[in-house]
Amino acid sequence: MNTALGIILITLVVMVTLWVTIFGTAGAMLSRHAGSSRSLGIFLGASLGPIGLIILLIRSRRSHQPQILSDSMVGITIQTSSGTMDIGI
Amino acid sequence: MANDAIMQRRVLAAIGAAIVSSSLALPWLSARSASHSYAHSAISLPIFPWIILTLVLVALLCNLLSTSFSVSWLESLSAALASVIFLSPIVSVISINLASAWATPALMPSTFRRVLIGVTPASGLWLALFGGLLMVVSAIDKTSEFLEGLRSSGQRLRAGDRTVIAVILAIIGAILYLESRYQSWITLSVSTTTGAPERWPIPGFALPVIGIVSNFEIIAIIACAIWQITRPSLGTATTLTIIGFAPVFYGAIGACMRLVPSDASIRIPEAFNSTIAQWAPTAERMSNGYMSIPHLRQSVHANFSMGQGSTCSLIAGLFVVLAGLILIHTHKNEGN
Repeated sequence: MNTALGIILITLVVMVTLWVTIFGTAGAMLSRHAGSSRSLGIFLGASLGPIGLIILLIRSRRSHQPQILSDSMVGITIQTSSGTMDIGI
Repeated sequence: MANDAIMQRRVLAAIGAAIVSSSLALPWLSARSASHSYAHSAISLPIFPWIILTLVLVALLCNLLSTSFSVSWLESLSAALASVIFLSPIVSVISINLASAWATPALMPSTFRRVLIGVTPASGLWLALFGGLLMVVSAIDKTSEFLEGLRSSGQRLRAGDRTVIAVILAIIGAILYLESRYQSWITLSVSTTTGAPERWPIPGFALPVIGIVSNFEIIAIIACAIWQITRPSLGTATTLTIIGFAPVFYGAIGACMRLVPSDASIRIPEAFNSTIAQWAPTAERMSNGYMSIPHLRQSVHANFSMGQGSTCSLIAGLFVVLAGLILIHTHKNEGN
């Protein structure tokens, strides 16, 4: 019984490792693109899988979306590691 | 201040690693043959504890090094390994519960099902999950937010904040409900083909409908409780109250069952014995004769008694309903 349980638990750990490698890497890339922490992206991608990636994708798109700064100005907000920067045109 | 934050992060990672490592000596799984259950600590399993120990040590080392020399790949590796340590117990619990859900056996590979049926998660697995959570919080650099959240919840609790009290009650209810799934709800005494009477305690997870639905209810209770802490709303409070009535209802059925006569003559369907015939030899072979499932007579005289599982479910439901009612009352007062 011990051997069978051991093999099953090892298989589960291997499956989780593969899952974390695939979705964690994708999460890290998307998170980096959105300008936020890479490790948070790894955790979100790994724990929520495709749903986590969609959340990160939406965040990434929002952070790069053009927005109206005032009535006469249109600009973009760039997120950097030290904060956000608005560039108006 | 920055040094304090780094120190807190390191300490949290070390505590998480210590909890996961010490959990290996405790029972991770409890396997059940027809009438007996046996605890298995992770350390008694082959290779598996060494894999977990290696993962924990490498994750801790990466975490400590990444706080000293800000190297981004070390931080990423630490987060990835901590995620593996945190997710492995969760996936194990999900697999065990899927294997226990007899209505959907096709969801799992047959080898998993044969071995995992009757297996329940034990204290070590839950402790590893908690330790893994601490390691993840440290690895993704959310230690200060985590500690601040704990501190403010403690202050709100001391100040008598009803929301925090209700959330704690709801979480206690969820834990009790989870525990009730693994306790015996009905104990059957049946005669087998060998003539010797067998006592079969039937846990909550093996019961039709309740076994499967309770999984989703526990997840919903925990989700509603967490939601209440972050964004309190009347809708979530009402949902929590409604969900809480389900375990109360199951517990009430158990209480009613105590009133009916406990002796019954049951005709066992042939399909039941043929299922046993299909499963028993492989399960017995894989477990070295450890899981023996006896055949039943076609017509058996069964004597059943109610276990403590339904009582535990009733108490769990009352906790959740009370939590929901407190939250509704709080919202009503705030609205006025």
